[in-house]
Amino acid sequence: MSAPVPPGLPTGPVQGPTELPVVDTVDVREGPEVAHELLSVLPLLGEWHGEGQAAGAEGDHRFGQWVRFAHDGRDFLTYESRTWRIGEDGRVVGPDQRESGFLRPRDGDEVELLVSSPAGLVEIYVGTARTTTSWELDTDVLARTPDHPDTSRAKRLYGIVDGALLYAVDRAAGDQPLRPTMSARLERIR
Amino acid sequence: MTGMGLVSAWVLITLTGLAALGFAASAWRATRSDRRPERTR
Repeated sequence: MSAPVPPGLPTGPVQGPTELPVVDTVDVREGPEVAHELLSVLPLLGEWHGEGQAAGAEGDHRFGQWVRFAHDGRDFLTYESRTWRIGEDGRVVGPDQRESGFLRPRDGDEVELLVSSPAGLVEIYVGTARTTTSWELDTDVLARTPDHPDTSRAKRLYGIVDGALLYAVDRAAGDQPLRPTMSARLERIR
Repeated sequence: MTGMGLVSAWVLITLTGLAALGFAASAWRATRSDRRPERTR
C-alpha cells in the first residue's frame, strides 16, 4: 500500500519539468503580487551576472558570479549566489563559493540579511538603506564551523550604479580590522 | 569595477553616495532648465 501523496505533489513518476505549487519570481510583471514591504529593496529583485575579485591566501583572484534575488509574494527576498573561479587566462577553473539566504526589509529603511555558506559560515546582518539604491549591512550574529577560517565580523554594501549591481564584502578575523574580501560588478540578466 | 581589483565596502559606500549625488545633480539641472523659459518671459 502506497503512502498518500501530499497536496501539490505529482501522484506518479515525474515525466516533465518539475513545478512546485508555489512560485518564486524575479520579475514584477509575473507571478505573485509584490508585497509593499519589499519596496525598499525592490531594485535588487532580479538575476544578475558578472565578474569580481576575491582575496585569498595566494593573493587576489578573479571570479564569475550569478546572483538571484526573488520573491514569492511575501515580505522577504530569497537570495542565492554562486561563484566560479576564473584563471589568469580567463578560463573557468571550477566552482568557487556559494551562499544562500533571505533579505528581510524591516520597518522604515532597516533591512536584515541572513546568509549561510557550505564553507561553514552563517551570518545575520542588520543594516539600512543608505539611499534608494544602496544598502549597508553589518553582522549582528556570526557563527562558523571549526574548519572555517576565523571570522569575527563582516560588512556588506550593495548598490545599484548605472543599472549594475555592485557589492563589496569586508570581513575581519579576531580583533583585526575589516579587510576587503569580495567585490563584484554584476549586470542584470533577468 | 571589474579589472580595478578588490574594492572595500567603504569605497563602494563613497561610490554609491556619489552616484546618488550625481543623480540628484542631474535632476536639479533638469529642474533649472525647465524653469529658465519662465524666468525670461
